[in-house]
Amino acid sequence: MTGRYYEAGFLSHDIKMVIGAEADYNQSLKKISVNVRKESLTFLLDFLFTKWGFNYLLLMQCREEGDKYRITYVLSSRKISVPVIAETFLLKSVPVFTTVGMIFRCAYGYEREIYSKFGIVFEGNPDTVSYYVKNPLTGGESDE
Amino acid sequence: MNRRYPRFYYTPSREIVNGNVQIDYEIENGRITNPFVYFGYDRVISSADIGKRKYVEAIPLVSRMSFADKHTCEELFASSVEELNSTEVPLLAKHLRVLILELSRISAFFLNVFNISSALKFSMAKSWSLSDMKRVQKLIVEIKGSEFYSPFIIPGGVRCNVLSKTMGLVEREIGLLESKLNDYDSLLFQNELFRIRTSGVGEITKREITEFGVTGPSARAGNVSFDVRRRLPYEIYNEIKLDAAAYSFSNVYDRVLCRRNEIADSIRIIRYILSNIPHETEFINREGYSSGLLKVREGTVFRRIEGVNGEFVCLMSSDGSERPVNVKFRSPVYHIAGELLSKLIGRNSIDDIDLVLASVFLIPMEVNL
Amino acid sequence: MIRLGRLLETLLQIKYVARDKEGDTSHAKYPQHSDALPAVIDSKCTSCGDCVRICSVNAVEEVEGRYIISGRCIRCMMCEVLCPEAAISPKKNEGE
Repeated sequence: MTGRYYEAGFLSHDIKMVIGAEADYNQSLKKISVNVRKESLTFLLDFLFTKWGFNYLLLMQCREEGDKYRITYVLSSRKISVPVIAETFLLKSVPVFTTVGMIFRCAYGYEREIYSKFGIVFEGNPDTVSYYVKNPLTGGESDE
Repeated sequence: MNRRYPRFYYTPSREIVNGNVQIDYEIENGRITNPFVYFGYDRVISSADIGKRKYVEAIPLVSRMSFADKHTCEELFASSVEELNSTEVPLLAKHLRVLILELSRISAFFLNVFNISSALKFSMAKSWSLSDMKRVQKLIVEIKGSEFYSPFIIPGGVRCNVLSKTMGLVEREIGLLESKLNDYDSLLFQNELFRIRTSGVGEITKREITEFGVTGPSARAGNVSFDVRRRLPYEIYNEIKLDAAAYSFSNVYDRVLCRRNEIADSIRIIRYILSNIPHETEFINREGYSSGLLKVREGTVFRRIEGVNGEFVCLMSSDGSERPVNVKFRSPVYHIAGELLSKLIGRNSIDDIDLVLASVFLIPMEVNL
Repeated sequence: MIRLGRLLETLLQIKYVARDKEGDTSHAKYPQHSDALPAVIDSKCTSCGDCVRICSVNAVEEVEGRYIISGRCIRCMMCEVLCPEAAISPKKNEGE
């Protein structure tokens, strides 16, 4: 697997055609960074998984930035040596997002960790169910 | 909801898993069902603690993030800073870094053999591997000239040069260890009892390896050959040819055998370094350090290094000041320690829990980095 | 006695633990258990204060114009590497 720069160029172009976001290929730091809207993220990850062989989710991280959460996904492929770093923002007032566990199985673990730290609910992940859904408010004692 | 079966709690000893782990499970018809693995609060330093400090203050703390992969963490941190600053590392420092990394890989192999021998109650292999691990750690301390936990790989190079008499000591010790590998072969790998006990146990399928992103010896033993040193060479690994053996299934036997074969590689790399070490005296490039601070240029970098258990990664963002904006480390143990470990335990019988846990070389303090 | 110890060391490959005249056993234990602290060499020190900024555990204190390394030190030796005047030595005895 060699770091052929033209493959990274084609990939950046493909990402732009598919979701309309600019993919920044940094040749010196050897990575491709994309800022994605949260509605297009799962589509982008699925596209990278199926068409470009980005089968590995190396890292998923969440950080607070002002009134938003920044979620970072780092993907790698065995065919291309350049990793893709996809970032999206979530508003703190609506901390709900979709899970990517159906694409990357190991994402369930990362999402569980993010849920325990920040309280972001990932829809589709059974471990990150909102507290009030798990413990519905009822009138009296629940039947066991 | 009434439970049909009681829930059992099992805490494997620290000789088997290198930290605090608790497993709770149910038993149905002699098989384990619904296992869940809890990782204890072994973590001393995490990425968040590193991110709160200045770069120069974080250097000694990075060494304390893991006791088995400590040099990998140091190398990740140092190389991330160097990549952002475009710092040229002296050739001598690159050789010394690889020397320390390979020695820590050898030390981790002996620790793994210690874990497996503890699980199987093979006392001879247990005492041999413990003494050999201590031997290699003393050698590392001798090279560093300081404590085991003091940083050696720092941004810009290494902390100190190595004396020629220490290099002579390294050569002697490596010769001794190489001859001992034959003893380990006859004790373990050619031992029919060991082979019967470990073959067919704790198998990870190729599909699970790719699905969960498992890397390192656990993946290579399942014929998913991915080694960061070969695919994305760093330091002087582009000059070194690494062997790639083929294995059949990633069971306990193949995982230990894979580690043993890679130690032969590590010994060859150390011999290469000893014969090709440059005759220079400069071991650190102090560019970026000024008035006791280390300033890092703006940018985001993502580094990948082959650790003891697989691919260790680090994401670092900087805004040009002496403090990082974001630092996140992720250990290869994380991908094994989640759902995959519960599946492995559920698939094997109660007698084999210890063996399965020892063979994946769990390091609980690395799980929540 | 020492020769017999060295012979045993080569035959059995065990480390012979020696005590020197002052009874200093710091090299006989693992270095992390050693009592030796790094120390500032006053003749070379220019009071730039870099060691205070470098130290991650605030073990370097300024006392009456001199810099002293306290017991809080974790022996990371970063101050020794990054001191611009090489005015920090690894063992206390050499600094005095």
